[in-house]
Amino acid sequence: MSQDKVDRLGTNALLYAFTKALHRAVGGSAAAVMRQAGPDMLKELTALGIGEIDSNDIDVIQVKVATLLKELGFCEDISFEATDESLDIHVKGCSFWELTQHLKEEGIPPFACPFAGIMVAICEKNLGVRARIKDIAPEGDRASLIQLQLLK
Amino acid sequence: MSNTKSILMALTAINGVSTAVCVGRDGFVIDAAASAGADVDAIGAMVSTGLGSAESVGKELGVGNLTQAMMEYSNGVIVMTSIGQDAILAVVAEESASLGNVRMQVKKRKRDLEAIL
Repeated sequence: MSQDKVDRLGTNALLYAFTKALHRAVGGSAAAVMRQAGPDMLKELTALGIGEIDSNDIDVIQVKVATLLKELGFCEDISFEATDESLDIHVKGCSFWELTQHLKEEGIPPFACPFAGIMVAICEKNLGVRARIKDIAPEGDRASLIQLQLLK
Repeated sequence: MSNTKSILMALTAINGVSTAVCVGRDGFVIDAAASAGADVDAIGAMVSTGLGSAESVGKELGVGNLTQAMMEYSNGVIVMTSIGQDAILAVVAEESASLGNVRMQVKKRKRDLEAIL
């Protein structure tokens, strides 16, 4: 098997197992672990030479994030709707859909959503605001709306 | 009228208490009264997972809901309690602090925080 190809469903199974184990260990506080993971995900993407999001302009960030996440195969498209107090993130063609759905069926919230984790980290690092996940809800087949609350 | 900051500052006014933090379950620091140099964001994440872990142990062993947790270290103690479903209060005290008083004040301020969060 090529080292450059990782099976999507295999990745879903792997993340499902980690996420479920983490939730069993610390319950709802698992979201705090993901909050810590976001900045490290960004650092690792930069360290691996995959991509660096260094702008503080939300429009530029949107273009760079969309390019990066599509190249990584995380989703088919991602777009933002921003105000001073919130950021709505529309994810289409989510590659982690099965993972999210299976966890949801077991009463586990999608705290490990990589899109939310990355965007909270980008908002705090690049925009200089404090960010918090307000809601993650389905928005059609393999599509989600992630709502972040932004605090100055 | 009390707000989160004034409640936390009332806790740090107790002799021997250096830090009081109110964090969301997601590790988001809602407010903090801490000594200079304290990394409250890191504290927030650790507090949340620490309390979450203690709650999971209780659930697994069937001993009911966690009311308060206290961790003793060589140079101090941390007292934690949940604030409703979504937040946590944690207080860091020196080993010389009166633990009975700290625990009582945490219990009292928990009610105050629950009323405003």
